[in-house]
Amino acid sequence: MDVDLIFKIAAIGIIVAVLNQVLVRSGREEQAMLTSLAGLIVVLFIIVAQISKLFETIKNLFGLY
Amino acid sequence: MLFSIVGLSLIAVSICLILKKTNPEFSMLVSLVAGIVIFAIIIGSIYPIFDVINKWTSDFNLNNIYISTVMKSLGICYLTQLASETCKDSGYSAIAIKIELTGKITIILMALPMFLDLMQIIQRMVYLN
Repeated sequence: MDVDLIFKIAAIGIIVAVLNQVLVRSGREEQAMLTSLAGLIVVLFIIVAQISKLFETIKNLFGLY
Repeated sequence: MLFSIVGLSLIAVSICLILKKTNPEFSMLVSLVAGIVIFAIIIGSIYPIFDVINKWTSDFNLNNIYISTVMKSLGICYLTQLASETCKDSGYSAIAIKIELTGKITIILMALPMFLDLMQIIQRMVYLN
């Protein structure tokens, strides 16, 4: 659990945004949408791992079994 | 520790604003991750609070069930608020209200035995008068 996780996800977001613009300008709207979808899925995988860790921590901390 | 949290949250908000223009879903995800990271940083300072509370309950031999129920409801409140505030930030307050309703129902379900104890205590008091 470290701070650069936020910057990693921000970097993915910015790269996907730039790719999206480039693909849209060059006329390939479908690839643009697919690229942004792929970026979103990658970020979701990262976040799901962090959220499961958060739930484990809260269960242990507050005794929620 | 407070200063790092303040700085980190301001950076996270600025990143969310940058991402909001191009693709808003990433700004929601960045704010969610920022919340999780800040909670991970804060957790180190929560443990001593619980140790003191557990020591109190053992010293004054209070009934442990009540304190553990309070702790559980604290955890449920935190989780529910994390989810519902994220939904409200991204503009979907209908879903946020559903999450809060679920949290309230969970807490009430968990606190039912305490209501029964309370009723018995009141009954005993009324009986004595």
